[in-house]
Order: sequence, then structure tokens, then C-alpha cells
Amino acid sequence: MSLSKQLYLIITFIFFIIFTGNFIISVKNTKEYLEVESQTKAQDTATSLGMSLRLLISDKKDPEIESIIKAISNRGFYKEVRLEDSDFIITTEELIGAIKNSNLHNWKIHDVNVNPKFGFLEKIQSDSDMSEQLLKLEDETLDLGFENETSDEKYRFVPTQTYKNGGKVNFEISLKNANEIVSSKVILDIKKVLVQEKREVKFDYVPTWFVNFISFDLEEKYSEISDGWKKSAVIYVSPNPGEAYAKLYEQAKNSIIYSIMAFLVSMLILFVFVQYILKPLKTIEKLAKSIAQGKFETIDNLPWTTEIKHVSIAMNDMSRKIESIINRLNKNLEVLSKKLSEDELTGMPLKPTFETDMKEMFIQKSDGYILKIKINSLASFAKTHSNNEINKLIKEFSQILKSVESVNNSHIKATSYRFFGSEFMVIIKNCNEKCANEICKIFKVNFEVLRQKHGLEEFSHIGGTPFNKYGTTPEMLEAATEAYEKAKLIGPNEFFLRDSNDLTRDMEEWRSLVFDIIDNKNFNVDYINPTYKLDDEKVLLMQESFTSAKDNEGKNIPIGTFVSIAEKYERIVDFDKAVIQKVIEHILINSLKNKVMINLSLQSICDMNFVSWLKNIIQKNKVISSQLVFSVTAYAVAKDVEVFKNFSFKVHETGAKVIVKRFESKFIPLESLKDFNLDYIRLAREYSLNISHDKSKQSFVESIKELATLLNIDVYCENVQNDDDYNCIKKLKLNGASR
Amino acid sequence: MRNKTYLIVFLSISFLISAITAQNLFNISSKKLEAVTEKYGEKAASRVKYWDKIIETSKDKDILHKLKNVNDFFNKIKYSRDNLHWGKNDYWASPFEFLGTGAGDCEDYAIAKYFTLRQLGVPDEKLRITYVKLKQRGTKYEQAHMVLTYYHKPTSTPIVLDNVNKRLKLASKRPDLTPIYSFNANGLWQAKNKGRTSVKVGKNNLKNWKSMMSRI
Repeated sequence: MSLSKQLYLIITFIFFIIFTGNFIISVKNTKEYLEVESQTKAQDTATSLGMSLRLLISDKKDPEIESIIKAISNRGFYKEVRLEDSDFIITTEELIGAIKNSNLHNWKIHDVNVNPKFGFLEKIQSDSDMSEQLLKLEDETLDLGFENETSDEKYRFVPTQTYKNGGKVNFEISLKNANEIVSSKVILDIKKVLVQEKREVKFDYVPTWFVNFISFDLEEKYSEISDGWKKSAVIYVSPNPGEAYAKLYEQAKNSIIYSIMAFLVSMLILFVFVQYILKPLKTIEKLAKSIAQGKFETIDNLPWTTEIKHVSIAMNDMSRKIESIINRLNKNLEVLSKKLSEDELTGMPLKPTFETDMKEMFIQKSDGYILKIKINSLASFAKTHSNNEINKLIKEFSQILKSVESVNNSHIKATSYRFFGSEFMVIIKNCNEKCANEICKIFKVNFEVLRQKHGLEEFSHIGGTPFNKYGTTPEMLEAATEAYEKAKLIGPNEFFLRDSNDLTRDMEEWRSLVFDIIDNKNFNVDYINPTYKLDDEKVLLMQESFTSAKDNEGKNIPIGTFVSIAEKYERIVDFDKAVIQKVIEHILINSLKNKVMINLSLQSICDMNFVSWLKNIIQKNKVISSQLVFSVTAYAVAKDVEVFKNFSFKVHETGAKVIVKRFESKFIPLESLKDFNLDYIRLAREYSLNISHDKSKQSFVESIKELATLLNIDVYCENVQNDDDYNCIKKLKLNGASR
Repeated sequence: MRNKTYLIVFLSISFLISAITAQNLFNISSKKLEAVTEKYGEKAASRVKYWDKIIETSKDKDILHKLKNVNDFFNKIKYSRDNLHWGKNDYWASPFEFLGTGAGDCEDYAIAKYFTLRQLGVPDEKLRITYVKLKQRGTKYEQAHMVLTYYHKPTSTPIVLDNVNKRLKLASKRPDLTPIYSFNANGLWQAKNKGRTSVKVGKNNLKNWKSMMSRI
């Protein structure tokens, strides 16, 4: 989950907690406030009603009482306003008046009883007893009797629970007149509630769920009303919750609306803020990615947030340091590379350079001549001369060879190589037989001068052969040697040049052979050069697909020549396609787990149609895409760097890998290695050959490995036959090697 | 023998001293007494101690004697108007403030009597604090006044505990008093006993009553 999403989530959660808490507290407080307010209002109304009714309560049936209560109730604030008698007081007058026999109305009550199911009767005692006790207590004897006490007898009816609100109650009365006593039964309708006014509770504005969800605890409030000194009635007032619900609902609604708005605004601000905060992180991510790709940029506009600023500074620092490390490695490699490819004494390139230059010429389809020159008398000269004298002779000789590098004809480009002690080679590009002849003559003259100077009998011979685009290096070396041998036969310091008619095979013959092989897919794909992991030799990392074809006579065709011809007649793309199909089939049928290297020609990778065909076929075989490793030789890469970069980018989109084989720093400058986004490099054989005895090679390979590690590239070696060499590259921690 | 006599004399003196110095409180904590002493002085403390004694001696008495003892005790305290005594127009003092300052007006008498009688076990429903109109003797003027009333039975005429007419009398024997409004303090009393510190809106809404309850 991205950092911004995490931030949004956590902040949403915090907001939710805050708003929910705030909402609950606010609604709760409002509810409590409304409860208190409603009850206070009800209590105040009960008190003021009680005070108003005090003056009227002596006659409980006074209609003014009902009018006042209705007037208050009609204002609608209260659910119920109720006036209750405080006690059921029954006077003798009421009892006698209820007797149906009117003859008895003049009689006096002797005794009154009530059935216990209704309750019981208490005769209200006169206060005279209490008054006397008080007089005694206060040592007073005189009762001034300020208040006239009524002679009427009164009874207090204390009802059972069933009759607590009154009802029709039977009384048994015994009446006395002189000495006669009679009994009578009377029924009195006793009412506890004197006046009751109810108003319907309405929640028109408030939804039912809200009413059901929140319950208001509104107590009924009361006030006692005294008639003089004695409690006479109680007025009850019940608050109406409708108004409180409406107010609470309004408060809750507003609170939610505010919360949502505040939340939305906060999220908007947060969004802007997070974008602002995270922008520098994206820049850092971009920088990290470009460092991984080998582009050592820096962040110029440092972010404002301190922590991110520190990370940016550290990243800048890291980028600069890695860049300087890589530059230093490159410099070391350049020095080492030069040391490896140059002869110390003469400063001439060595045999490996000759071979790569030849390869370059094959690719470029160059014209030219190859000369083999040997100092014949060096062995006899060495016997009679000191090392310094020998070295001097060789140096002078090499100067002669080098002098041809700059003849007046600007089309000529000659390079001299020292193979072994007395054996030299010269490649003269863009040179025909006539030009070669002239150069040989110049050499001959100069050699003659040198021979005389050192008093030698025989000095040197030259054998030359034209460069055959469709031949191979060994073939041409052999041809040059043949020519050299012929020159020796001709005479001292002579030269012999072969002409182009010597080309071994007729071009027409080649053309039909190549077309036939490609059209009929008449070739085999072998899997050679198994590359094993160096730190675990059981793990097979990669195999190389190698095509072989035979001519009409059943002889193996040199594949280099085959490819050259196919390129010449623009059939190489078809050939590469056919090879790729065969390899994919092979991986699928044999369920291979290792990677397979497929060699592609430069012409193929330049062809946009081929690249899209390749992408398509890899997409169709997505499962094995990571097992396909497309290989291009280092000198092919060097020929068109931009095309290769584009190819590498497209191949990586499909999940397949890219390797550069026969890697030499001469073709691909190490500082540009980072631009290719490579997965693997396989070093040219020359780098691993005799590496165990050559400190320079070791340092060179080690530096390449360090650089490759920084760029996430695996380094393999090819055809390491010698055990010491193998152990040496193992020590250097290369990734894999074939033997 | 002589030593024994000395020992008896010494022990007797020690007991006497400890008896004098001991505060012998029954219903009031010594901490509260110390607070009163500190705030109002020694005289106030002796009034509080006397109050405690009255409560203790009245405990086993019948209701009329309880009423009389309490009424007589508080009626001994000097009458003083609120604006003179407290510098406020209508201040209801708690019993400790009333005893501590040694003066108060009619409300303070009624309240102090109410709490003392409640302490003596008189049920709350029998006691009511009543606003009355007092007709001053020999004049036509009437003034607002407050008394404590005791209802022996719900239907009976109450006994008035007043600080003007200092004797206990039935309300019917007090033509100088006209009852206006009465209230009890049961709900607030219970709320107080639950240890609540803040004033909760309860059954009685009189502002001064609530403020006074919070100070007890």
C-alpha cells in the first residue's frame, strides 16, 4: 500500500474517531441539557401553578381551577397537567348526604366502616390534644384559641393499592338518633384526580428511528398545594418530549452536516498537503531508479520537509559517490585494457586485437589486405647480440611497419600487430592488390636499410592475402602464411601477394546454398557452452544455441561465413526467426529450466518488423520469456549503439533478457555500459585465457565485475579450459562460466 | 501504701485532665470542629460542641421534647439581617455557618432546625420549610418570614418552630402567621448523602436552597 494511501487511511480513522466522539458528546450534552431544561420548566410551572391555585384550593370543585390548568396545558409545552387530591377526606356531611333514605338525614353518625378490600378509615383527630401537650411543654396554661375549629367530623380514607386512584367505595354507617341506632350502606365516588389535561406527544419533524434510538428521561414534576397550613392537593406537570426531540434532532443533524463538511474540507487540504509532501519522495524514487539504471543525477531543488531533505542530500551524496567509483573503475579498466592489448616494447596491438579488428572488418564488409611479416634472422641475431640490441632492432623494425600507417593515400588505413617475438601482422584497409604491392615495396626498401645497418644477411619476408568478407580469420591467417612461405621461396627480403581470385568458393554457389538452408530450415540447433554457476557448479545457468549447416557435399559450413552471406542477401532476419522458433520449441518440449542464449545479427535487431515479430512471439510464450536471452556480440553493439539500446529496451518489456557476448572494453567503453540496461555480459575468451598467471587480466576482470555488480549485471566467462584459470575467475566472484 | 496513694492521685489527675481536654463529640467529627475553630474561633467551637450535646441528649426523647430542645437551642442565637451579617441580600447559611458566625435570619434558623431534627431521626415528610407572612404585633405591617413546620400526621395541623415567637405552637394558634408556600428537601438530602458535590437539579428548584445544600 502506498504511503499516501496509508496516510489517508490513518487520518480518516483519526477524523472518524474525533468526529464520532465529538458528535456523541455534543448530542449527549444537548440531550442532558434539554432534559434538565424541560424538567426545570415543568417544576417551575408546577410551583407557580401551585401558588396560583393555593387561593382557590379551599373549593376543589371551583371551575377556575380547571380553567387555569387548561390555560397552561393549552400552551402545548406539557404532556400532562394533573391536579390530584392529596388525601381522601370524607366529611360526615358527605356520608349522610349519600344515604338514600332522606328520613335519616337528621341522624348523627355513630360509626363508619369500610370493607378492607377498599382500604381503611382514620378519624381525623382534633388538634386539642397536641395543643394541650404543647402548652404543658412550654409551661403555658392559657389557651387563647385564636382559630375556631369546625365541629364537623372528618375521616381520612387510606385506600388499598387497587383503589389508590379512587373509585366507588362502599361504606357501612351506623346512625344514632337518641337511643336508636340504625345501619346504612352508602357508596361514595371518590376521585383522586381532580383535574387532568393531556396533550398528545407529536414528533412530526423527527423521524421515528431517532425517537426509538434516543429515549428522553423526563420525570413528572409536582408541587404540593396547601390550604392554609395543611396539604390539600398536588399539582403534577409532565414535560412534553416532542419539543426536546425536535431540538435534539436539529442539533444532531447540524452536527453531522458540519462533521461531513469539515471532513471533506480536511481531506481536500490533506490531499493537497500529502501531494506536496510526497512530491519530493517521488523525485527521490526517480533518482534511485536512474541510479539503478546507471544515470547518476542529483536533486537540485531540495525539499522543504527536513527528513526528506536529509534523505535527498544523502541520495545526492550517494549518486555522486557511485558515479566517482564507476569513473575510477573505468579509468583503471582503460589503463588495464590498454596494457593487455599493447605490446610493451613496440607499443603495437597484440594478436587478440588483430582478431577483433578482423571481426570488425567482417561486420563492416571491408576491403583490404592482410600481411604477415616475420624477422627471419631474429633468432641468429639474438645469439650474438644483447637484449638491448635485440630490442632496438625490433623497435626499429616496428617503426618501419608503423610508418605505413600514414601514407599519402588517405583511403588507406594500416594497422600493425605483434603476434609473437618476430612475427608481425599488418591489416591494410581499403587497399587493393596494387596498393598492397606498393606498400610491400616500401617495406622492402626500408627493411633493406635496416639489414645493412645491422649487417644481416637476410632480414624479412612478407606474405599477403586479400581480406575475404566471407572467409574466416584462421583461413586468412593460413592464406597469409602460405603467401609468406612462397615469398621465402622467391628470395631474401621478398614478398608475395595472393590475389582475390583465390577466394575459395564461388559466390553464386554460396548464395544458392544459403537460400536453400534458410528456406528449408535445413539447419540444426545445438545447445553448447553450458554455463554453470561458479559458486554452485551443479546449477546450469545458461546454454548457447549454436546453428550448424552442411553444404551439398555434407561438409560443415563455417557459420561466420554463412551469416555473412545471409546478411549480404538480406536473409539473416529469416534465419534468426527460424532459429528463435526452434529454440522456443526446444525449451517447451524439454521443459528446460535454464536460460538459452540466442545469437542475433545486427541486421535483425535493426529491423523494426523483426523486433515487433520478436515481441509478439515472446508474448505468446510468456511462460518461458525470462529463459530467452538474446545475444549480440560486443562489436555488433559498437556498430550501432542506439539501435542496440532500443532493442534492449523492447526486449526487456517482454520479460526476456539481453546478453553481450565476446565483451571487450575496446568495443563498448565501460562508462557507456550503464546505458544499455544489460542483464549479462560474457567476456571475450582472451580475458579468461591464462588469467591465473596474468595479474593485469585479473585486475581488469575484477574491475569489470565490480562495475557490473554496481549495474546489476551478471558476468560470465566462456570456454575456460584451464583449471587454474577456472579457480581464478571463481576467486574473482564472477557469476558463471562454461568450460 | 504511700506509693499506692500517690499512684491513685496521679491516675485520678491524669483522668481528669484527659476528660477535660477530650472533646467528647458524638455527632460531629473532630476534624469539622477543628475547621470551625480555625475559621470562626473558640466561641463558635463551643457553640458547635453545645449543639452536638443537644443532639446527643435529645436522641432518646419523645418528639415534642426533640422539637423543643432544638427550637430552644437555635432560638438562643442572635437574629441578624442577611445584608448586615453576610453583606448579601438573601443568604442561606448552612448550620455550621449559622453557628459559627453566631447570628442569622429566619431562613438560617429554619434550616438549622430542619437539619438538626433530621439528624434526630425525624422523617423528612413530617418537616416542611414554609414561607409565611408575619404580621408584626401592634402594627399593620406584614413581613416575609420563614418557619419550620412539623406535621405529626399528614392531616394534622403543624407545629411551628419559629424564631420570632420562640415557643412551640400549633399553626392554628399563630394568627400572626399566614402560610404562603412550603417545601421539603428530601431529594436534595438524598443526593447529598450519595456524596455528590455539585448541585443537581432535583425536586426542589429554589436557588438559595441548592446553594446552601452544596455548602453543608
